[in-house]
Amino acid sequence: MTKLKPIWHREVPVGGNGQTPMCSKYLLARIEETKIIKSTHTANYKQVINFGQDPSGKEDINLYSAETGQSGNLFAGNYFDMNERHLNGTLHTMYTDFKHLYQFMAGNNYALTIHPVTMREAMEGRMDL
Amino acid sequence: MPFHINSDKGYYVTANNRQVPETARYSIGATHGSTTRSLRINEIIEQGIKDGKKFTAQDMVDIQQDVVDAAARAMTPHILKIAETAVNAEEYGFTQKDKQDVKYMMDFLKDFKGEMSQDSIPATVYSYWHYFFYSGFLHSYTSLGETGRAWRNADEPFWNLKTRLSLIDNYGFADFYMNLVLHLGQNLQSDRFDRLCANGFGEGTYKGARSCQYNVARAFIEAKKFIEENISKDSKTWQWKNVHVNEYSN
Repeated sequence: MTKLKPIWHREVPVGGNGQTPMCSKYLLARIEETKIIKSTHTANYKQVINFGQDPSGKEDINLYSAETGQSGNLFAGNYFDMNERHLNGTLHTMYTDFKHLYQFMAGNNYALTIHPVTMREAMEGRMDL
Repeated sequence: MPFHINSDKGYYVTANNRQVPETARYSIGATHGSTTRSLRINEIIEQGIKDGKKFTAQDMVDIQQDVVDAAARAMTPHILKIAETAVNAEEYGFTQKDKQDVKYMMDFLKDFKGEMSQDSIPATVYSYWHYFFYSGFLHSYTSLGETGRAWRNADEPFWNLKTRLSLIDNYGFADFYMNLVLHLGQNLQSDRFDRLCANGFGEGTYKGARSCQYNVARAFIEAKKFIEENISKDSKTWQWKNVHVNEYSN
């Protein structure tokens, strides 16, 4: 597994430490071995919500960011693509109104379809995707 | 569970800090006190209120991005005072080379305000000093486990560097560390914490009686040596971004 590590492993230079609001906490006990300082306790997910005055929610601001990406598939292109924006504080807008999802799907010709499978099918990988 | 709605002061801060008053029956939060992060967030908000600022969503994002270590900012003047006093006192036995190394490292921290930004060299100096100062704790407590085994790893001797650091590298000890430095900064000849710091860098390396004050100065020497051996001899490259990463381990 060690030889495959570089494929999934990531290290990114960053500011802050375990005492700063932009948390990047490391363990002193590792420094003897690693020499440089490697933080492992960070803000994996950020969200800022500002409720507007209008009860319809149209003035609401909802921002979010994940530290890595939205896919566990290394080859899907979204494995680590949120990291740079996450670390520099450029959060994404989160939409909770389904019309935005419909517009996105229509514009990109995407559709999300969910099929129920049995536990046996899932374990055996016989999912009709 | 204790609860509270619509705080009189107008905001809540959560950063692993204690969330309930001293009188609460059950503690909530990772620590029993304020974390440095929560203190810094409070500081930013209180300053904004004082300035009549109307906070926006972007201000909250900016707080999430803040890289000021309020503890480092508060401790640094005391650290410099303690180190300067110790390194110049003959009783501690520092050599001329030691004195030069301590001064070299201290100069980086003269104007340090706890800014742990990527381009900061003082951030690197402070962080490695902090590491070596912590490394000097608990050496004289061998009676606790000289013959025992590590509580995390049964194959390691109990009282090695990793174990000692594991015991003290936490939120609770961070409060104590700040109190210790403040106390020493205000009482330069105090012996209150001598046993905690005794033999921090090996027995017989100094003659002085005040072991914590010695360790404050000695940690600068060790930090310089470590950085030069493992990072770079050229201090122009000692930016925080060159020695500090977020690790996404796999």
